[in-house]
Amino acid sequence: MAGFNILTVSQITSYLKSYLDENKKLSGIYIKGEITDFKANFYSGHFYFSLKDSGSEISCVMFRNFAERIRFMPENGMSVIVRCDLSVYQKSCSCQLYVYDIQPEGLGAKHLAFEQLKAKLEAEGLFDVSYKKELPAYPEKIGVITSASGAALQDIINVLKRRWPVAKLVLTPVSVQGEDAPNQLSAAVRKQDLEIKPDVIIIGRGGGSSEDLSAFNDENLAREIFACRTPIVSAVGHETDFSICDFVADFRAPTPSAAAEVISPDADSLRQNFDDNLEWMKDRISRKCDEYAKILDKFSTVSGKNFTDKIIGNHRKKLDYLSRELVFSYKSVLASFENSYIKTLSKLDANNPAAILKKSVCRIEKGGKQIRSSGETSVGDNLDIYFADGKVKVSVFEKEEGGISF
Amino acid sequence: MKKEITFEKALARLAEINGKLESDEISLDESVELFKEGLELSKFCQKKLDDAKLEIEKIDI
Repeated sequence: MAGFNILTVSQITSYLKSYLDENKKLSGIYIKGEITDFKANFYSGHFYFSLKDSGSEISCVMFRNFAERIRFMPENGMSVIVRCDLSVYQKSCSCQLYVYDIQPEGLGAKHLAFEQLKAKLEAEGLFDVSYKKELPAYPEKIGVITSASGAALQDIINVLKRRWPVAKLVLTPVSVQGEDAPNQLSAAVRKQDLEIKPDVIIIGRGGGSSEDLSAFNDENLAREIFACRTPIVSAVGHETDFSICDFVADFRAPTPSAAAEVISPDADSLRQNFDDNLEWMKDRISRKCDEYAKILDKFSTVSGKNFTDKIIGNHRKKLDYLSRELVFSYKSVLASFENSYIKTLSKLDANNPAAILKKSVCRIEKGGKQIRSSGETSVGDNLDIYFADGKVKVSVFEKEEGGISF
Repeated sequence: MKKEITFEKALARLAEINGKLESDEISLDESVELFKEGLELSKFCQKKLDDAKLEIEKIDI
Protein backbone atom coordinates (compact mmCIF):
# COMPACT_ATOMS: atom_id res chain seq x y z
CA MET A 1 0.00 0.00 0.00
CA ALA A 2 3.01 2.14 -0.43
CA GLY A 3 2.33 5.53 -1.98
CA PHE A 4 -1.02 5.77 -0.25
CA ASN A 5 -1.62 8.41 2.43
CA ILE A 6 -2.59 6.25 5.38
CA LEU A 7 -4.54 7.84 8.25
CA THR A 8 -5.26 6.56 11.71
CA VAL A 9 -8.83 6.14 12.97
CA SER A 10 -8.32 9.04 15.27
CA GLN A 11 -7.04 11.18 12.43
CA ILE A 12 -10.02 10.55 10.18
CA THR A 13 -12.41 11.04 13.08
CA SER A 14 -10.70 14.25 13.99
CA TYR A 15 -10.79 15.35 10.36
CA LEU A 16 -14.48 14.59 10.14
CA LYS A 17 -15.14 16.51 13.36
CA SER A 18 -13.29 19.63 12.28
CA TYR A 19 -14.92 19.40 8.84
CA LEU A 20 -18.34 19.44 10.43
CA ASP A 21 -17.47 22.00 13.09
CA GLU A 22 -16.23 24.46 10.50
CA ASN A 23 -19.47 24.25 8.59
CA LYS A 24 -21.55 27.15 9.87
CA LYS A 25 -24.68 25.60 8.43
CA LEU A 26 -24.41 22.86 11.02
CA SER A 27 -24.24 25.11 14.11
CA GLY A 28 -27.15 26.83 15.80
CA ILE A 29 -29.62 24.73 13.85
CA TYR A 30 -33.19 23.78 14.78
CA ILE A 31 -34.12 20.12 14.52
CA LYS A 32 -37.59 18.74 14.90
CA GLY A 33 -38.21 15.20 16.14
CA GLU A 34 -39.60 12.87 18.76
CA ILE A 35 -37.66 12.13 21.93
CA THR A 36 -36.64 8.52 22.51
CA ASP A 37 -34.24 6.70 24.89
CA PHE A 38 -34.26 9.73 27.22
CA LYS A 39 -31.85 9.51 30.18
CA ALA A 40 -31.01 12.17 32.68
CA ASN A 41 -27.68 11.30 34.28
CA PHE A 42 -28.20 11.66 37.98
CA TYR A 43 -24.53 12.36 38.75
CA SER A 44 -23.44 14.55 35.87
CA GLY A 45 -26.78 16.29 35.27
CA HIS A 46 -26.40 15.81 31.51
CA PHE A 47 -29.31 14.64 29.34
CA TYR A 48 -28.81 11.84 26.82
CA PHE A 49 -31.50 10.96 24.31
CA SER A 50 -32.22 10.42 20.63
CA LEU A 51 -34.43 12.29 18.22
CA LYS A 52 -36.23 10.30 15.58
CA ASP A 53 -38.76 10.62 12.85
CA SER A 54 -40.22 8.01 10.55
CA GLY A 55 -36.98 7.69 8.58
CA SER A 56 -34.01 8.30 10.87
CA GLU A 57 -32.70 8.59 14.38
CA ILE A 58 -29.85 10.72 15.74
CA SER A 59 -28.35 10.73 19.24
CA CYS A 60 -28.31 13.90 21.28
CA VAL A 61 -26.52 15.17 24.33
CA MET A 62 -27.51 18.18 26.45
CA PHE A 63 -24.90 19.19 28.98
CA ARG A 64 -25.86 20.14 32.51
CA ASN A 65 -25.37 23.92 32.15
CA PHE A 66 -28.05 23.89 29.40
CA ALA A 67 -30.16 21.07 30.82
CA GLU A 68 -30.79 22.84 34.09
CA ARG A 69 -32.23 25.86 32.32
CA ILE A 70 -35.20 24.18 30.72
CA ARG A 71 -38.45 24.43 32.66
CA PHE A 72 -39.95 21.03 31.93
CA MET A 73 -38.71 17.48 32.04
CA PRO A 74 -38.42 15.96 28.54
CA GLU A 75 -40.13 12.62 28.11
CA ASN A 76 -40.01 9.82 25.59
CA GLY A 77 -42.54 10.33 22.84
CA MET A 78 -42.58 14.13 23.25
CA SER A 79 -42.41 16.05 19.97
CA VAL A 80 -39.84 18.76 20.35
CA ILE A 81 -37.73 21.28 18.52
CA VAL A 82 -34.14 21.48 19.69
CA ARG A 83 -31.56 24.14 19.01
CA CYS A 84 -28.16 22.50 18.61
CA ASP A 85 -24.85 22.05 16.81
CA LEU A 86 -24.08 18.93 14.79
CA SER A 87 -20.72 17.42 15.71
CA VAL A 88 -18.85 14.17 16.18
CA TYR A 89 -18.29 12.15 19.33
CA GLN A 90 -14.73 11.12 18.61
CA LYS A 91 -14.58 8.02 20.78
CA SER A 92 -17.14 6.19 18.66
CA CYS A 93 -16.98 8.51 15.67
CA SER A 94 -20.68 8.96 16.11
CA CYS A 95 -22.42 11.92 14.66
CA GLN A 96 -24.61 13.60 17.29
CA LEU A 97 -26.49 16.75 18.23
CA TYR A 98 -25.16 18.98 21.01
CA VAL A 99 -28.39 20.53 22.32
CA TYR A 100 -28.71 23.96 24.02
CA ASP A 101 -32.46 24.31 24.21
CA ILE A 102 -35.58 22.17 23.92
CA GLN A 103 -39.06 23.47 23.19
CA PRO A 104 -42.06 21.21 23.09
CA GLU A 105 -43.42 21.46 19.59
CA GLY A 106 -46.70 23.32 19.31
CA LEU A 107 -45.76 25.43 22.30
CA GLY A 108 -43.11 26.85 20.03
CA ALA A 109 -45.78 28.58 18.00
CA LYS A 110 -47.51 29.78 21.17
CA HIS A 111 -44.27 31.04 22.51
CA LEU A 112 -43.65 32.97 19.34
CA ALA A 113 -47.14 34.50 19.56
CA PHE A 114 -46.42 35.47 23.15
CA GLU A 115 -43.19 37.19 22.22
CA GLN A 116 -44.85 38.99 19.34
CA LEU A 117 -47.74 40.27 21.48
CA LYS A 118 -45.34 41.30 24.21
CA ALA A 119 -43.25 43.30 21.74
CA LYS A 120 -46.37 44.94 20.27
CA LEU A 121 -47.83 46.03 23.63
CA GLU A 122 -44.46 47.16 24.84
CA ALA A 123 -44.06 49.34 21.74
CA GLU A 124 -47.49 50.83 22.45
CA GLY A 125 -46.31 51.76 25.93
CA LEU A 126 -48.64 49.48 27.91
CA PHE A 127 -45.77 48.34 30.12
CA ASP A 128 -44.35 51.81 30.76
CA VAL A 129 -43.34 52.42 34.36
CA SER A 130 -44.91 55.89 34.15
CA TYR A 131 -48.37 54.27 33.98
CA LYS A 132 -47.84 52.08 37.03
CA LYS A 133 -50.15 53.14 39.85
CA GLU A 134 -49.06 53.14 43.46
CA LEU A 135 -50.56 50.47 45.69
CA PRO A 136 -52.57 51.72 48.69
CA ALA A 137 -50.87 51.30 52.05
CA TYR A 138 -53.97 50.28 54.00
CA PRO A 139 -56.57 48.86 51.62
CA GLU A 140 -59.99 48.46 53.22
CA LYS A 141 -61.54 46.67 50.24
CA ILE A 142 -59.56 44.16 48.21
CA GLY A 143 -60.87 42.82 44.91
CA VAL A 144 -59.77 39.33 43.91
CA ILE A 145 -60.19 37.86 40.44
CA THR A 146 -59.50 34.14 40.37
CA SER A 147 -61.18 30.75 40.44
CA ALA A 148 -63.51 30.24 43.41
CA SER A 149 -62.19 26.72 43.85
CA GLY A 150 -58.48 27.31 43.25
CA ALA A 151 -55.58 27.19 45.67
CA ALA A 152 -54.76 30.80 44.80
CA LEU A 153 -57.90 32.12 46.56
CA GLN A 154 -57.18 30.06 49.65
CA ASP A 155 -53.58 31.31 49.72
CA ILE A 156 -54.73 34.92 49.48
CA ILE A 157 -57.35 34.44 52.22
CA ASN A 158 -54.81 32.83 54.54
CA VAL A 159 -52.30 35.64 54.15
CA LEU A 160 -54.94 38.36 54.63
CA LYS A 161 -56.41 36.66 57.71
CA ARG A 162 -52.98 36.66 59.28
CA ARG A 163 -51.67 40.04 58.20
CA TRP A 164 -54.59 42.35 57.46
CA PRO A 165 -57.98 41.08 58.61
CA VAL A 166 -59.20 44.70 58.68
CA ALA A 167 -59.89 44.41 54.96
CA LYS A 168 -62.92 43.12 53.17
CA LEU A 169 -62.25 40.74 50.31
CA VAL A 170 -64.57 40.81 47.31
CA LEU A 171 -64.15 37.88 44.96
CA THR A 172 -65.34 37.82 41.37
CA PRO A 173 -65.11 34.12 40.54
CA VAL A 174 -63.92 33.27 37.02
CA SER A 175 -62.58 30.36 35.01
CA VAL A 176 -58.83 30.84 34.88
CA GLN A 177 -58.26 28.36 32.08
CA GLY A 178 -60.15 27.20 29.06
CA GLU A 179 -61.57 28.90 26.02
CA ASP A 180 -63.80 31.40 27.85
CA ALA A 181 -61.24 32.29 30.54
CA PRO A 182 -59.83 35.43 28.83
CA ASN A 183 -63.33 36.89 28.38
CA GLN A 184 -64.32 36.14 31.95
CA LEU A 185 -61.09 37.64 33.28
CA SER A 186 -61.61 40.80 31.22
CA ALA A 187 -65.23 41.12 32.37
CA ALA A 188 -64.17 40.63 35.99
CA VAL A 189 -61.56 43.41 35.73
CA ARG A 190 -64.27 45.75 34.41
CA LYS A 191 -66.75 44.67 37.07
CA GLN A 192 -64.25 45.22 39.86
CA ASP A 193 -62.96 48.54 38.54
CA LEU A 194 -66.31 50.12 37.65
CA GLU A 195 -68.80 48.58 40.09
CA ILE A 196 -67.13 46.99 43.10
CA LYS A 197 -64.49 49.73 43.29
CA PRO A 198 -62.01 48.18 45.70
CA ASP A 199 -58.80 49.92 46.81
CA VAL A 200 -56.70 47.34 45.00
CA ILE A 201 -57.26 44.27 42.79
CA ILE A 202 -55.40 40.96 42.71
CA ILE A 203 -55.75 38.98 39.48
CA GLY A 204 -54.18 35.56 39.18
CA ARG A 205 -54.13 31.84 39.63
CA GLY A 206 -51.89 29.12 41.00
CA GLY A 207 -49.25 27.24 39.06
CA GLY A 208 -50.00 25.17 36.00
CA SER A 209 -48.64 24.23 32.62
CA SER A 210 -47.94 27.06 30.23
CA GLU A 211 -51.08 26.00 28.38
CA ASP A 212 -53.02 26.46 31.65
CA LEU A 213 -51.63 29.95 32.12
CA SER A 214 -52.27 31.06 28.57
CA ALA A 215 -55.52 32.90 29.39
CA PHE A 216 -53.35 35.51 31.09
CA ASN A 217 -51.57 36.18 27.79
CA ASP A 218 -54.70 37.45 26.10
CA GLU A 219 -54.43 40.79 24.32
CA ASN A 220 -57.89 42.02 25.29
CA LEU A 221 -57.27 41.18 28.92
CA ALA A 222 -54.00 43.11 28.74
CA ARG A 223 -55.85 46.16 27.41
CA GLU A 224 -58.55 45.82 30.07
CA ILE A 225 -55.92 45.75 32.79
CA PHE A 226 -54.18 48.76 31.27
CA ALA A 227 -57.47 50.70 31.26
CA CYS A 228 -58.28 49.70 34.86
CA ARG A 229 -58.17 52.73 37.17
CA THR A 230 -57.80 50.68 40.32
CA PRO A 231 -54.24 49.59 41.13
CA ILE A 232 -53.94 45.96 40.05
CA VAL A 233 -51.49 43.26 41.11
CA SER A 234 -50.89 40.28 38.87
CA ALA A 235 -49.99 36.89 40.35
CA VAL A 236 -49.96 34.19 37.72
CA GLY A 237 -48.50 30.75 38.41
CA HIS A 238 -45.11 30.43 40.01
CA GLU A 239 -42.04 32.62 40.34
CA THR A 240 -40.68 31.45 36.97
CA ASP A 241 -43.87 32.02 34.99
CA PHE A 242 -44.27 35.32 33.23
CA SER A 243 -47.49 36.37 31.54
CA ILE A 244 -48.54 39.42 29.50
CA CYS A 245 -50.83 40.20 32.41
CA ASP A 246 -47.75 40.48 34.66
CA PHE A 247 -46.12 43.03 32.40
CA VAL A 248 -49.13 45.31 32.10
CA ALA A 249 -50.29 45.14 35.74
CA ASP A 250 -49.17 47.82 38.20
CA PHE A 251 -47.26 45.24 40.16
CA ARG A 252 -46.19 41.68 39.40
CA ALA A 253 -46.17 39.29 42.34
CA PRO A 254 -44.46 35.92 41.87
CA THR A 255 -47.35 34.01 43.47
CA PRO A 256 -50.88 34.71 44.79
CA SER A 257 -49.61 34.53 48.40
CA ALA A 258 -46.92 37.05 47.57
CA ALA A 259 -49.56 39.32 46.01
CA ALA A 260 -51.55 39.26 49.25
CA GLU A 261 -48.40 40.08 51.20
CA VAL A 262 -47.50 42.95 48.91
CA ILE A 263 -50.87 44.69 49.24
CA SER A 264 -51.30 44.24 52.99
CA PRO A 265 -49.63 45.96 55.91
CA ASP A 266 -48.67 43.67 58.77
CA ALA A 267 -51.16 44.09 61.62
CA ASP A 268 -48.68 42.87 64.26
CA SER A 269 -45.99 45.35 63.38
CA LEU A 270 -48.67 48.07 63.17
CA ARG A 271 -49.75 47.24 66.72
CA GLN A 272 -46.15 47.61 67.80
CA ASN A 273 -45.96 50.93 65.96
CA PHE A 274 -49.00 52.24 67.82
CA ASP A 275 -47.47 51.28 71.15
CA ASP A 276 -44.18 52.93 70.21
CA ASN A 277 -45.99 56.02 69.04
CA LEU A 278 -47.95 56.36 72.28
CA GLU A 279 -44.70 56.16 74.21
CA TRP A 280 -43.21 58.80 71.98
CA MET A 281 -46.19 61.13 72.46
CA LYS A 282 -46.01 60.70 76.23
CA ASP A 283 -42.34 61.51 76.08
CA ARG A 284 -43.02 64.71 74.15
CA ILE A 285 -45.60 65.82 76.71
CA SER A 286 -43.38 65.15 79.67
CA ARG A 287 -40.54 67.02 77.99
CA LYS A 288 -42.86 69.97 77.48
CA CYS A 289 -43.81 69.78 81.16
CA ASP A 290 -40.13 69.80 82.06
CA GLU A 291 -39.62 72.93 79.99
CA TYR A 292 -42.46 74.69 81.80
CA ALA A 293 -41.14 73.53 85.14
CA LYS A 294 -37.78 75.07 84.28
CA ILE A 295 -39.41 78.39 83.44
CA LEU A 296 -41.27 78.37 86.76
CA ASP A 297 -38.05 77.55 88.59
CA LYS A 298 -36.41 80.52 86.96
CA PHE A 299 -39.15 82.84 88.23
CA SER A 300 -38.94 81.67 91.79
CA THR A 301 -35.15 81.95 91.97
CA VAL A 302 -35.18 85.46 90.53
CA SER A 303 -37.83 86.76 92.91
CA GLY A 304 -37.09 84.56 95.84
CA LYS A 305 -39.85 83.98 98.33
CA ASN A 306 -40.98 87.58 97.99
CA PHE A 307 -42.27 86.80 94.55
CA THR A 308 -45.88 87.67 95.37
CA ASP A 309 -44.90 90.65 97.52
CA LYS A 310 -42.99 91.96 94.63
CA ILE A 311 -45.94 91.61 92.33
CA ILE A 312 -48.20 93.35 94.83
CA GLY A 313 -45.53 96.00 95.36
CA ASN A 314 -45.46 96.64 91.67
CA HIS A 315 -49.19 97.00 91.56
CA ARG A 316 -49.16 99.41 94.47
CA LYS A 317 -46.61 101.61 92.77
CA LYS A 318 -48.74 101.68 89.72
CA LEU A 319 -51.78 102.55 91.79
CA ASP A 320 -49.95 105.43 93.47
CA TYR A 321 -48.82 106.75 90.19
CA LEU A 322 -52.34 106.59 88.79
CA SER A 323 -53.79 108.35 91.85
CA ARG A 324 -51.31 111.17 91.48
CA GLU A 325 -52.22 111.49 87.87
CA LEU A 326 -55.87 111.62 88.81
CA VAL A 327 -55.43 114.36 91.42
CA PHE A 328 -53.37 116.40 89.05
CA SER A 329 -55.86 116.22 86.25
CA TYR A 330 -58.74 116.97 88.67
CA LYS A 331 -56.99 120.09 89.76
CA SER A 332 -56.39 121.27 86.28
CA VAL A 333 -60.00 120.60 85.34
CA LEU A 334 -61.14 122.50 88.35
CA ALA A 335 -58.84 125.42 87.57
CA SER A 336 -60.10 125.76 84.06
CA PHE A 337 -63.66 125.48 85.32
CA GLU A 338 -63.14 128.26 87.84
CA ASN A 339 -61.65 130.39 85.17
CA SER A 340 -64.59 130.06 82.84
CA TYR A 341 -67.02 130.49 85.76
CA ILE A 342 -65.58 133.85 86.65
CA LYS A 343 -65.75 134.95 83.05
CA THR A 344 -69.38 133.92 82.86
CA LEU A 345 -70.18 135.71 86.10
CA SER A 346 -68.72 138.94 84.88
CA LYS A 347 -70.70 138.62 81.67
CA LEU A 348 -73.87 138.11 83.66
CA ASP A 349 -72.94 141.15 85.74
CA ALA A 350 -72.93 143.31 82.64
CA ASN A 351 -76.66 142.69 82.20
CA ASN A 352 -77.57 143.25 85.83
CA PRO A 353 -79.95 146.38 86.07
CA ALA A 354 -78.11 147.58 89.12
CA ALA A 355 -74.88 147.55 87.20
CA ILE A 356 -76.45 149.34 84.26
CA LEU A 357 -77.64 152.12 86.54
CA LYS A 358 -74.07 152.43 87.78
CA LYS A 359 -73.03 153.37 84.24
CA SER A 360 -76.02 155.57 83.17
CA VAL A 361 -77.32 158.50 85.22
CA CYS A 362 -80.85 157.31 85.76
CA ARG A 363 -83.92 155.51 84.48
CA ILE A 364 -87.25 157.16 83.90
CA GLU A 365 -90.54 155.33 84.18
CA LYS A 366 -94.08 156.38 83.54
CA GLY A 367 -96.76 154.22 85.13
CA GLY A 368 -94.09 151.49 85.81
CA LYS A 369 -92.84 151.49 82.19
CA GLN A 370 -89.48 152.82 81.07
CA ILE A 371 -89.76 155.74 78.67
CA ARG A 372 -87.03 157.00 76.38
CA SER A 373 -88.49 160.08 74.59
CA SER A 374 -90.15 163.31 75.56
CA GLY A 375 -92.97 162.47 73.15
CA GLU A 376 -94.10 159.80 75.63
CA THR A 377 -94.86 162.42 78.23
CA SER A 378 -97.45 165.14 78.58
CA VAL A 379 -97.64 168.08 80.93
CA GLY A 380 -99.06 166.94 84.27
CA ASP A 381 -97.71 163.30 84.03
CA ASN A 382 -96.24 161.77 87.18
CA LEU A 383 -92.90 160.09 86.46
CA ASP A 384 -90.58 157.94 88.59
CA ILE A 385 -86.85 158.61 88.24
CA TYR A 386 -84.53 155.91 89.47
CA PHE A 387 -80.98 156.84 90.37
CA ALA A 388 -78.28 154.47 91.39
CA ASP A 389 -78.77 155.46 94.99
CA GLY A 390 -82.51 156.16 95.16
CA LYS A 391 -85.82 157.09 93.55
CA VAL A 392 -87.68 160.43 93.17
CA LYS A 393 -91.16 161.17 92.01
CA VAL A 394 -91.67 164.21 89.74
CA SER A 395 -94.43 165.90 87.76
CA VAL A 396 -94.08 167.28 84.20
CA PHE A 397 -94.91 170.97 84.18
CA GLU A 398 -93.53 172.03 80.75
CA LYS A 399 -92.49 170.39 77.45
CA GLU A 400 -90.04 171.51 74.75
CA GLU A 401 -89.92 169.70 71.39
CA GLY A 402 -86.60 169.06 69.47
CA GLY A 403 -83.32 167.32 70.22
CA ILE A 404 -81.07 168.46 73.01
CA SER A 405 -77.36 168.76 72.46
CA PHE A 406 -74.94 168.53 75.38
CA MET B 1 -64.68 60.79 67.06
CA LYS B 2 -66.57 60.21 63.88
CA LYS B 3 -67.39 56.62 63.24
CA GLU B 4 -66.80 56.73 59.50
CA ILE B 5 -63.12 57.56 59.86
CA THR B 6 -61.00 55.04 57.97
CA PHE B 7 -57.86 53.35 59.18
CA GLU B 8 -55.85 55.23 56.60
CA LYS B 9 -57.28 58.61 57.64
CA ALA B 10 -56.67 57.84 61.30
CA LEU B 11 -53.03 57.07 60.53
CA ALA B 12 -52.67 60.24 58.48
CA ARG B 13 -54.10 62.32 61.36
CA LEU B 14 -51.76 60.56 63.80
CA ALA B 15 -48.80 61.49 61.62
CA GLU B 16 -50.05 65.10 61.62
CA ILE B 17 -50.35 65.08 65.41
CA ASN B 18 -46.84 63.70 65.74
CA GLY B 19 -45.55 66.49 63.54
CA LYS B 20 -47.23 69.12 65.74
CA LEU B 21 -46.05 67.50 68.95
CA GLU B 22 -42.54 67.54 67.59
CA SER B 23 -42.54 71.29 67.02
CA ASP B 24 -41.66 73.54 69.94
CA GLU B 25 -44.17 76.18 68.99
CA ILE B 26 -47.25 74.72 70.61
CA SER B 27 -48.33 75.29 74.17
CA LEU B 28 -48.61 72.64 76.84
CA ASP B 29 -52.41 72.87 76.67
CA GLU B 30 -52.37 72.30 72.94
CA SER B 31 -50.00 69.37 73.22
CA VAL B 32 -52.14 67.75 75.89
CA GLU B 33 -55.18 68.14 73.61
CA LEU B 34 -53.23 66.63 70.71
CA PHE B 35 -52.05 63.80 72.90
CA LYS B 36 -55.64 63.03 73.89
CA GLU B 37 -56.68 62.97 70.25
CA GLY B 38 -53.68 60.82 69.32
CA LEU B 39 -54.49 58.41 72.11
CA GLU B 40 -58.06 58.10 70.88
CA LEU B 41 -56.93 57.51 67.30
CA SER B 42 -54.43 54.88 68.42
CA LYS B 43 -57.13 53.13 70.44
CA PHE B 44 -59.47 53.27 67.46
CA CYS B 45 -56.87 51.70 65.17
CA GLN B 46 -55.79 49.08 67.71
CA LYS B 47 -59.42 48.15 68.27
CA LYS B 48 -59.97 47.92 64.55
CA LEU B 49 -57.00 45.54 64.33
CA ASP B 50 -58.15 43.52 67.34
CA ASP B 51 -61.76 43.20 66.27
CA ALA B 52 -61.01 42.59 62.62
CA LYS B 53 -62.15 39.39 61.03
CA LEU B 54 -61.56 39.14 57.32
CA GLU B 55 -64.89 39.60 55.61
CA ILE B 56 -65.36 37.78 52.31
CA GLU B 57 -67.99 38.52 49.71
CA LYS B 58 -68.57 36.91 46.33
CA ILE B 59 -69.94 38.92 43.42
CA ASP B 60 -70.44 37.21 40.07
CA ILE B 61 -69.53 38.96 36.86
